[in-house]
Amino acid sequence: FELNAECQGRRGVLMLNGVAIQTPCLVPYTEEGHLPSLTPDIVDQLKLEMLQVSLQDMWPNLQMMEKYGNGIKKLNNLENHLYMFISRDPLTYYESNKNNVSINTKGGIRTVSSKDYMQLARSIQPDIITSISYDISWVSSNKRKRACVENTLKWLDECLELKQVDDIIFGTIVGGSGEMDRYYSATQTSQRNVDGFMFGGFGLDEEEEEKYRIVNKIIENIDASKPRAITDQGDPVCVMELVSHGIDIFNLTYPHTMSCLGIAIVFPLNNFGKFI
Amino acid sequence: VGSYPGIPTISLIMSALTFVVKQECGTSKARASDLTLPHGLVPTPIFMPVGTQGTIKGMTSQQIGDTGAPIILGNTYHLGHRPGPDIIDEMGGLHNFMNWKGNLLTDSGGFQMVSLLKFANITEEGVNFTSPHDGTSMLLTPEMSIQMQNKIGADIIMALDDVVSSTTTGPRVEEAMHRTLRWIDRCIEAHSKPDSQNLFGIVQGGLDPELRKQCLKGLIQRDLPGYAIGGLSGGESKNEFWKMVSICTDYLPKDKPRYLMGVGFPVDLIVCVALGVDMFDCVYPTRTARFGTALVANGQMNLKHKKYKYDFSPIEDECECIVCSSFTRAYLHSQAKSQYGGQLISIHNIAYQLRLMRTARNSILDGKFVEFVKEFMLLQFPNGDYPDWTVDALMSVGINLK
Repeated sequence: FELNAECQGRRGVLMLNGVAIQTPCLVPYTEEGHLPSLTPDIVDQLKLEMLQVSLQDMWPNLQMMEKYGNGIKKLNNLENHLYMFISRDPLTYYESNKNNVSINTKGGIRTVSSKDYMQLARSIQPDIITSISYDISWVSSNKRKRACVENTLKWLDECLELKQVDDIIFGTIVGGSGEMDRYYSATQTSQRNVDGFMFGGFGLDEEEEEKYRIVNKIIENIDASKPRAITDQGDPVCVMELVSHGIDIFNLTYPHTMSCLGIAIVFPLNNFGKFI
Repeated sequence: VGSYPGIPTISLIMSALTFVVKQECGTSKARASDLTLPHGLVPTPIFMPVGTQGTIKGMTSQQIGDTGAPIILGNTYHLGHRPGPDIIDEMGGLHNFMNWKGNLLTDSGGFQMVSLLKFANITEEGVNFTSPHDGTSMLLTPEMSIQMQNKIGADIIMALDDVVSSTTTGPRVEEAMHRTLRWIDRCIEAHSKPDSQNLFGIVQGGLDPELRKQCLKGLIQRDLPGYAIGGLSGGESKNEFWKMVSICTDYLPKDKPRYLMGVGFPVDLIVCVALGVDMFDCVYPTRTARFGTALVANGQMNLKHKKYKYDFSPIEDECECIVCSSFTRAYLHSQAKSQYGGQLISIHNIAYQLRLMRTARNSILDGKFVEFVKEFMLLQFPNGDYPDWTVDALMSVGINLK
């Protein structure tokens, strides 16, 4: 990861498996690794660089993926794209219990261990694996925040133990609204051999002010030379704000949710020319 | 000219198409022809995918083009409501509106009025509908239908006919047949773009051979650019269905295109090609795709079935559609219940129907249509348990399945 400009916000080039992408970059929402309702011939025209794929979506396909053996890119016929494996599906919030990541499956609620998670990652063959964690509300109790932080660190260590030579693993930093919890999560995660950081648990019920305050808290306590990803943000204004704070990679459902509402996003980008 | 010598066929309207029969099957009534419309060549026999509301569900215009479909349908009833003919007209017609460079065919709007609206009342004036919700009434006359279709701008437009269900019996059927003929004259009169849009008449007459013949005679007299066979593919028995199709193709002029409306199951398509039909439309391939079913050489493949869960082959090896070249049955199985799966299978199903027609056409051109039919039927019914109606229909044109 190379930074080539830094002021308010930063610009960089992320090299992954021989592919270079510029940051800040957009990672759009997918369903099981493909863009909702868009077939590969259309997606290729959009010139997207990296797509997300989530645990919740892919879990039912584990056996098929393992038997298939060719990974998510070939499965979806999107071989020109990078993939980031995330443990949280941005469009569903599920309240996990304290000590496990839980997902909703056809057969009911299932807990997913870090071992399960890495097994699934192995079959998906993504370019970036974010370490497994669960989301907590920003009004959680201190106990819950603490448990989330400790479990996430434990799972990060377990993921790193299962890491293979070429894996890129981002450590997920959690702790909800707790400054001390976030501080602890950030500093501890920084000490591990991670390739980047996933700012976890955002895009939930946080308030504007606390979102940026916590983002800053995390940034102060992690290695600045490594790329930073953040879980789903809503509107473009927020994205711009987070760019100025120094986030590099954005998981985004905004285009998808707007499309579902029949709203076309229109930015007057031509007018920005005069500011450059 | 026509099949009624002595009856003058004065060209009452211009034609915006050419139709050349390239080859006839020496045995059956099948023929391979070149139909040239304002937006390009349509090799027949041809299957026309249905793009109800200005789009084929789940496909972009680009993707439809990529399947090679030279002509697709739009529904005047749906488009007439939303976005409405005036907006389409302002946009420069449906071709521009949906960014489709191929040919378009619109129906009259009559069928939907009768099938979708339970409270339709058909009078001499037109189809009268009173909404049960708010009591407002809506009237579709032949003039209104043609005016809407003129604005939509399709290459082929359909006359408003008095459609009766094929299971209706009694005097209503005859009344509808006569009215259809009176309405065709009103359609011809109202048609303002005969130089760019081809008005097809629709043969009615229910399941009564004599009524059919009367209708045929009347329509042929009007010397229209092409003819459709209507009022079938409803609830009638297949046995009666094929006989009516055959009577129509016996009498319809050889040098004009024949369009059988609403027929789309692969077996039906092939049998009706043998009976002399050139053009078909049906929602079947896309509708069945949305239920997870793919069309294949030997019938149907229900991709929701668990036997496909780990099947990493494409739907069909010989299919060249983008779905068969990029995706496995296992993947489609995992997607079969979602909209995305429906989209992908739709693309394949449309490509399949088009390929089926292309293969039939090539076999006619090569003089091997009879063999093709037998091979096809054996693939569909490997135990030789052909439905009786197919045996009878094909036998009537000299193809012996047994």
